[in-house]
Order: sequence, then C-alpha cells, then structure tokens
Amino acid sequence: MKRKLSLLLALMMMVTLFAGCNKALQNPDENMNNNNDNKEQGQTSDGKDTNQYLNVYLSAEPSVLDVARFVGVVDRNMFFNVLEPLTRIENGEVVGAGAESWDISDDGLTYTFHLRENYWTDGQKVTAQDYITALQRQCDPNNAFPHVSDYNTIENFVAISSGEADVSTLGASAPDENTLVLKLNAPNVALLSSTDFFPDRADIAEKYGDTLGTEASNMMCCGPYTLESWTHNSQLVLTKNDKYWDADSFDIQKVTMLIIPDSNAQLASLENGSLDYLGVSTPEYVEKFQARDDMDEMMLSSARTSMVIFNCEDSVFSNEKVRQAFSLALDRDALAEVITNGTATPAYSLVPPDCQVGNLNFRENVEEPLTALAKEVDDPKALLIEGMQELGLGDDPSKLTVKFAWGATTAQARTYSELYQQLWQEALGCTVELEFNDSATHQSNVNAGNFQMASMSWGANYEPQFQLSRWSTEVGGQSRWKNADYVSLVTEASQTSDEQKRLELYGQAEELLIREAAIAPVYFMASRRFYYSYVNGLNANTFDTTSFKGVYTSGR
Amino acid sequence: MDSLLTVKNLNVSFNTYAGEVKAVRGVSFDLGVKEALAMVGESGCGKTVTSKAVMRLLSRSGGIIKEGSQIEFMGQDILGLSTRELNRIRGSKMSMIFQDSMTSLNPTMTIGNQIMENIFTHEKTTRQKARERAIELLKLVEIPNPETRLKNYPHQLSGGMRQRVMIAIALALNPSLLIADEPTTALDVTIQAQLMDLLRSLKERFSMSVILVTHDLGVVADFADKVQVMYAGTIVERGTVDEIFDSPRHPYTWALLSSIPGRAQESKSKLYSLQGTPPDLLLPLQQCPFAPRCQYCMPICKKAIPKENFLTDTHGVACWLQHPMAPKVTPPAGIGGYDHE
Amino acid sequence: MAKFILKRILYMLVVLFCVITLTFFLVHSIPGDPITSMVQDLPIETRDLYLQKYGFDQPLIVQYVKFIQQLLTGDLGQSLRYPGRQVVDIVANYAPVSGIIGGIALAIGFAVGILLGIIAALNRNRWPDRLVMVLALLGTTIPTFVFAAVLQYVFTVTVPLFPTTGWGTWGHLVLPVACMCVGPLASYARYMRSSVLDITNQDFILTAEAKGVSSFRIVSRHIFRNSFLPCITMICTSIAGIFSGSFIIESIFAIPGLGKYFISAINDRDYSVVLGLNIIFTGTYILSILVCDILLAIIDPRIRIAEEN
Repeated sequence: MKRKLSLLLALMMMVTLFAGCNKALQNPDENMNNNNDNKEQGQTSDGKDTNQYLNVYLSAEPSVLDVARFVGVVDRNMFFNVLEPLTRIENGEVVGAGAESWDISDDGLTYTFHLRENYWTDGQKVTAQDYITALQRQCDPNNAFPHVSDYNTIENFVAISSGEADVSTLGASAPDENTLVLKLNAPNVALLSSTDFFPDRADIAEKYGDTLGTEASNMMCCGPYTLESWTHNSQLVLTKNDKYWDADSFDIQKVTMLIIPDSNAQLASLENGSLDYLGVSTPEYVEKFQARDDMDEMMLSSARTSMVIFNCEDSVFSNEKVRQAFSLALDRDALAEVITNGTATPAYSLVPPDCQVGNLNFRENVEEPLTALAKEVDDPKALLIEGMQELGLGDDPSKLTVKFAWGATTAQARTYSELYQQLWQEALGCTVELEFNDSATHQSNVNAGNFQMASMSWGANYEPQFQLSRWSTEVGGQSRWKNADYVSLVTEASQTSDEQKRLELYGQAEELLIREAAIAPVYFMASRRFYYSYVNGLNANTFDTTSFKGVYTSGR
Repeated sequence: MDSLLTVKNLNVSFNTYAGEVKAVRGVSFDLGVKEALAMVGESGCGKTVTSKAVMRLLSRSGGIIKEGSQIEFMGQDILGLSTRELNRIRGSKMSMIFQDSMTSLNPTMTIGNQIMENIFTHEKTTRQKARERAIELLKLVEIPNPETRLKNYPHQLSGGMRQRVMIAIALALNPSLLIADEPTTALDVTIQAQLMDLLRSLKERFSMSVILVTHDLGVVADFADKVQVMYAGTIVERGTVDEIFDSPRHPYTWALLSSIPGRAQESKSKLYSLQGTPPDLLLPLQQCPFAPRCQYCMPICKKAIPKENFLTDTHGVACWLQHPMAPKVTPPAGIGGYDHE
Repeated sequence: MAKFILKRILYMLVVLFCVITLTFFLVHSIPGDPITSMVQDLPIETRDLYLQKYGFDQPLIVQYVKFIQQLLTGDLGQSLRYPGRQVVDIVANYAPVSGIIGGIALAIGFAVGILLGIIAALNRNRWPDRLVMVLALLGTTIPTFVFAAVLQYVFTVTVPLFPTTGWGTWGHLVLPVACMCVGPLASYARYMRSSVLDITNQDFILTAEAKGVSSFRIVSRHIFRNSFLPCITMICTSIAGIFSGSFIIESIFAIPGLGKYFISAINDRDYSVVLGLNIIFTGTYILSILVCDILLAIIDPRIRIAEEN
C-alpha cells in the first residue's frame, strides 16, 4: 500500500513537472526562438537579402514601456522604435518625424507643430491630442515620472508635477487634430534636439492602468516597428510596421533583441552568429574579431565623459587650488589607455566632440580649458601646497590623506582606481584612500554629499545644455559648486537662438567649470563595435534616433 | 561414519595495512549428522571466522580462505562452488544465526517479509503459502500471536523474540546444518536458558546438526555433543562434552573451566581470570600460542608447536604436557572429576 | 499524526513571520533608495513625489504595519524598478522557469548521483570508486561560473550544438541543466557512497547473504532501501531551492528566472520585490521541510511507529 502511494506520488510529481515544462517553454510568440527562421535566403536585384532580419543585443530589460513612467535609457531608445516622436535626429540634424513642419514664434515661447499623417497599429489616427496626453500623464503627480526635469521649460509642467497646479494649466493645446501648440515659460533653443515628445493613447492608458507598458499586448505602437513579443528578461521582438509613413526607408522586417547580462555570453553569441553586431572591449576578443574576414569594425563615440567630481563643500576640496592640483596631476593618456584599452580619448574639457550648437560643432570651436590651465601651472604639487597653506593645513602633502570613491566593487574596479591612486600619490605626494561601493550606494553617497572625490560619468545630449546644466542646480550639482555666474551663463545660453552667441556662452560656462575644477574630466568614452560584413548601413552618428532606418543585410 | 561436514586444514587470513593477520591456522574437524559441536574460546580465537568460512561469508569482511583448505558439506566441495550454487545451499541446506539480533535483521522490512524472503529465494511458491509457512515457523519458535507479529518490524520486538525470529528464518527450509554464532551472548540469563532449550528441542525435532560458537562454557554443557577449544586460530583441545568437562587436559581449557562463575561459587574462591592477552596474529606460529600465558610453560613450549595428541578416538590435546617426558601436572582444584594421579 | 502536522504548521508560521520582519528592517537599512539607483539626476520635488507615492516618506514602523496589512490580503506589492508589475505576477512568471531548470537538474543530479554513489560503494577502492570520487570532488570544487562559461563556449561556439543564450525550446535547457546538476550530483554521490558503505557493513546484510539471497537483491532490497532513506532528507531541503534558481547560471545563459531577478532587485533596491521574493523563498523552504518530515514519517517505519505511539 505504502509502495503504491509513493509510486503514485512520484508519478504525479513527474506529470506536474512535465506539464509545467511544456507550459513554461511555450511562449506567447511562436517565432520566439527562430532567430534564424526562413533559412532559405535569396537576394533581390539590388543585392539585398530577401529575408531581412537582425539579431541585436539589448543591454537590459526595459523597466516599463510607458512614456509616463519609464526609468532608463533602454526604455527611451525602445520608444524610438515603436513610437513616433515629433522630431528625430538624423545624420546629426533635427528632422521632422511625427511633425512634418513647425513654426517657432519670434520670442521663442510658442511652438506650433503641423503633424504628419500617421496611424496607430489599430488603425486610429495619431492626433495632436495624443502628444498632449503624453505630457499630461508625464506631469501627473501620481505617476511620479522620473524625468520631469527634461520638460521643465513647458509652461506649468513642473508646477503640475509637484501638485501645485492643475493639469488644465499645462502649456500644450490642440487647435485641431493635426496641430499641436506648445507654450514655454522661457525660450529653449535645445528643445527639439534634446527633448523627446512621444504620443500616448489615453484610452489605452486607461484600459490597462498600472499594467500599461508591462507586456507587448498592453501597449499601442505607431512607429517604424511594432513590439510583437516581449519575453521578460529574455528578448523582445520587433516587426516592421508597414503602415508607417516612412516604411519604404526601412528594410529590416524583424528585429530580435536579446537581453544577455553576462559579457562572456555576449561575446560567444557574437562569435557564433547569434548576434549580428556587438560592442566589444575585451582585448583578446578585439584581436580575435579583427582577425576575422567576415567581420568589420566601427568606432562609436558614446558622447559621455568620465570624470572625477570634487565635493566643493568638503573641508579640503573647498579650496580651488587643491582641486586644480588634483585635476592636473592626472595622466589622462595613461588612464584612457589602461582603463579603456585606448578606445577612449583623453578629455581636458567636459563637453564631448559630438555635441553641436545648432550647426556648429562645439569642440571644434572651443579650446579645451584644461590644456590652457596645464600650460600655466608647472607643478601641480606646488599648487597643492599653496592650496593647503591657504587652508591652514601646513605645507607637507605627505600629511594629507584624502578619499576617492568608486562606484563598483569588481576586481577590475580595484585595478582602475588604484591607477588613479598611484598617479595622485606620485605626482602630489599625498595619501589617497580608496572606497568602493555598489553603484546604488555610490550614487546615494554622492547625492548626499558624502564624499571627497568620486568617480562619475555623464552623458551628453545633442546640445551642451543638458550636460552643463547638471551643475546649474540649486545645490551646485553633484560637486556642490555654487557659482552664480555659471548658472546665469548656462541659462542665458539655453535661451539664445543665435548659434554663435550661444556657443560663446557655453564655452565660457565650460571654462569656469573646468578652471575652477568643480570636476576633473578624464576621458571621452567610446566603444568599438564589431559587426558581420553582411550588415550594412549601421549608424555611427552618436545622437541619431533613426531606429533601423537604412540598415539592411546582404549576403547573410 | 559419514560426516555431514568435513573441514581440513582451514587457513583464513585477513590482509590489513599492518600485514597479513592469520586468524585461522590449520583447523580441521568433522561434524556428523545430528551432531552438536561447540566451538569455544575467547574473543579473537578464530571460532567465528571458522564458522563463517564454512558458509563462505567472509568476503564482506575481507577474509581470504587460503590455498590448501578444504571444506566438504554433504559431499560437495564448498570452496569450489560458484556463487550461484552456493546461494542455493545457503539458507536452505545450511543456515546461520548471529549474535546481535537487532542489527542482524533489516530494520525496514517486516518480520514476515524477512522470513518469506528466505522461502522465496529457494522455492517457487505463492505468497499465501509462504505466509502460512511463516506463521508455522513463528509458532515453532514459540512466539505468541504470530499473525500480528508478521507485520511487525524488528524494533518492535524484544531481544529474545528477535533471536527466535532469527531461528525461524534459519529453519524455514529445514536445513541440515545450523550454525549459531554466539546466539545467547546478548541476552540475559533467563532468556538464554529459554533459547537454548528451544534450540535443543528444534535440533531433536528436525534432526539438525548444530555448530554452536560461544565463549561461555556454561551454555555448552547441556547442549553439545562435541566440544572444540580454540586458541589463537588453532584447536588446542577437542573431545566429547564429557571428556572435556570431566577430564580436560589443556591448561587453557582448565582456565576456561575455572572462569565459569558457578565453579567459583562452589569452591568459594575468587572468580578466576586468566592473565595476559591473546597473541598477535600477525606473527607466524612458531611456538605454542598459549605459552606466554601458561603457568605450566616449559622451555620446549616456546620453541616448537605442540602436535595434537589423541588420548582416545575423540579426545585430542595439543600440548607439550602430553609428551611422555613432560612432568605430570595436576589441573587446578575443582576442575574435572578425576583423581589426581 | 494530525496533531503532529498542525504543530509543525504553527511553528512554520511563526518562523515565517520572524523572517519577514527581519528582512523588512534589514532591506530598509541598506544605504541608497530605489529611485537613486535608477535615475542619476532627479530634482528634489520629483524625488519627494516618488517617495510619497510609494510611502517611503513615512516612518519605518508605519511602513511596516502597512506592509503586513497588505501581505495579509495576499498583495505582495508592486515592483519599483519595473513599474506596473505585481510581485505575485513576477513570481508566477519567473518561478516556473527557475523551477524547471532547478527541478530537472535536481532530479538528474539525484538519480545519477545516487547511482554513482552505489556503484562507487560496491566497488570500493577499485577504479569505479576512485573515478566517481574524483568526479565528485571536481563537481564540488569547480566554481559554477567557470564550468558554465566553459560549457557555453565549447558547446555553442566551438561545436555549435545548442543555442548560446535564451529560453524557450528544449535545446535551451540542456546546458543550464548540465551546469546545475553537477553540484547535487557530486553531493549525492558522496553521500550515497558513504551511506551504502555504512549499510553494507551492517549485520543484516550478512544475514541476507546467509540466506542465500542473490547479490542483486541484496543491493536492491536491503542495501538500497536503507541507504536511500537519509538521502530523502537531503533532497527535501533542496527542493525548496529550485525555485530560487541560480543567479550565475541564469545570468550566463540569459535565462529569465527568479534567481537573477532576486539579486538584481537587491542591487536596484527594489524593496517590494526583495521582500516579496524572500517571503516566497522562505515559505517554500519551510513548506518543503514540513513535507519532508511527513514523507519520512510515512516511509521510515521506525519514525512512523514512534510517532504513532
């Protein structure tokens, strides 16, 4: 009897296991695993494959594909694939997308957009009201939208989001279904190049409530691609939206985006062709892929500056000379070489070479401030001693101990930060202690002013405004560097429509920041991408938001 | 006389890290039909190893029966049998019961199943028939409520009952030879007596030969026909039970007999105990093994192994005291019933 | 028996409650908060709104009480890092994935391990024994991530037999399961080996031999049954572990499982997910211990009869 019972139990367990297996293995989307479906591949007359698809790498699981609640850059980049913003950046220039054309009032406070004919995938027309719905939901205090500050130039946006004003006061209106009017509270020349206006469907938002954007079936698309399936923490599949107004410019029919957390697994996937292209930094693999005939290489600038920030409220680093000394003491060539294997460029300024002021390239027109400073100062150590004396700390750097905080706890992190430590200790003769925390704790400490020197990086947008304005906040940014001149320069620049004038103002602001050493820029980050030769048309423009336009495969 | 079991020149060794332990050295004996043989001696004298060798149960403990040994049972050369053939005999023609009944029974199997296992191993029969036989056997060994007991597990029975169950298992197929390895050592005295009574009656009833391995001479007297005294892997004295109890000749036998508590009580003396320890079995036998402990030890004893000398057909002694030139020695007081010569 | 079960269930609930409380206060004591770990630059007003929406501005005790209240209605809360996702749904979606890999790996590790252990024990000190022991040693000492990385490279790049990463077909199961079953396999092999050796030296095996029972039956009925029992204890506690998954394997093979989710949630300071998952894991663990006890009582007659008396 016992025996029969235990046998029955074992049988039940196996059946359950099997059934569970089958169920979990099933996916809402059948073509989930057919990364290489439709093996038969021919070519059309212009040399392109008949079957156009891509397998790409996605760096993380999207938090939520809802324009009013999304958290990170992964989500934002996804919106460019499945939604149609008012404008996109193509070939480094602002072009119309959802909006065919627009008028800006003379005082720069009113923008009138004339919308292009575009449809959601369920057939409904994309209207001006849809763009307004997005803004309304973004400033709704209940949604606790993390990126409120991106839209702070829109009239009453911030006030509504903090609950002080009613949503009806929002500076956005739709005189008719094809016209959208935005009212700003101050001129913002970077509005169209740095701010993304996506449309949102009020009825869909209401239908799904909290679960909006958590599944492929809980959202509506109107962009070049639709989100066909989303297997959380595994992959997303985009299929081409033939109803898209610019569908002819898109050759890729299907994009499978794989989420692969482990770097070895990523490299293995590229190596065996499961991925069509990937950014590679490991030196051994770089060599391996360079040696392959069927792969090509391209350098991508990240438009991101790696830097050391100083806490200007700290007893030691409140002194400018001290900060300058620490900034000048760094051997930027060595750091770029060791930490990034030469992919990064040493930086003697904040704003990376990709940034534009209108049609002018910033970096080409503005000298890097730290180079000039370096010429003026022979010996950073002497400068440090001067600063110490001003602080009443004596004149012996060997008696000075400072802390450098790093936002990672891996073995690599230790090696890299030790290089900084070595450079400072050798050049300045002081003692540098290292502190390691995971990124969340690191951010928290920095934001709370709980540090002396900290490693940090900031990405830039099309115009320098975004990056520079990180230090024009009330507390003086993460460096707690309160400089009224800086703030007024940055603010004025953001409202100056004349490109040349704007460039000068930004230039002056950057000079202040770097000279007074609120930060010590280290290098401009870049990455090396390897792609199979059959992939053509990959975009190397840093700020372009053209989704997969112009990409095609030939000879897969 | 046609003997049931003939053992000739049995040598059993164990390979250990320290070397080869010769546990049994040149043991030979016969056992006839319906005969009860007692093998006595202290721990480590080789009696258990000898009895296990007869059934070839030494492989698990690493015992090796050396070349030149011979064991014949019911006309068959035991040492030449294949495992399969051996398994046919084991449990059905010859059986063995062990000392510790708690550990000798499978704790996760019912009593009934363990008895029936023996039946099913050797006979093709129905479950019903086997069950009936099991109940019969339990009744035979005088266990009350046999039907209930069938479903019990070993830990639900007392020590004495478990030992009876072991007997029931061993007797399931009417073996001709039963080897009992210290069956009463783990039991208290009253149960001991009951069990020996049972064994005796069963032996009569089923015309079995029994080899009783024990270190307790008290148990032997009422049960055995023949006695074999073993020391350090050899037989030092053998004879009928009368011969051994009435006229023992070997100093070791004397020592054993003296240490029976009853005797001490009778002669109102202290409980006798033998000094010293058994010899190291790693070393080869070059002298009388008992010499170091023998109070009658002579120089010759330390130089040569005494040969077994037969006083009668059945009474053999391996001792230099039996040599014509040896001094006459009287056994200690209270031993045996003969007059001092 | 019923009383036995009831008492155990009561203990279970007490332990669960203690674990929940402890986790709650521990998680909230880590520096950092969910919003800072997600978004670098946030105006104070937005942060305040965010904290208000999720109730983080309240004193800890108040948050705790609210949490318990929610819990009693079966609501484990909503993820912070992934807005809109209910913790219960997260568990429902990801747990089966981890469960399948873990379950199959455990089953294989258990079955093969037990078998190897028996083989090793029965061939003591001969080559099968030594081979199994070496394998077991390797299995225990080689770190999972090394093994996984090697397997992944060899079987998806050098000899492309399986998909490198992902989830969905039976092919995706092979490598992760292979990596995961090594640990249990090694443990069970060693454990079973010593258990069998122990049993083999017991007297009742000798009795069986003396009955002329064939060596096959001795192994299958006498040795196996008795040496198997202790292993059941081991497997019961392992069963709970299969749902918590292996962070390393799930990361390397990009498997959407609960293990990776849990660790990431800690890094993201996603309080509700961490708490919710911890409750689930603890509950499953305690439950499996309870089931194990009951199972053992059924299977081992000594325990059952002792309990009945």
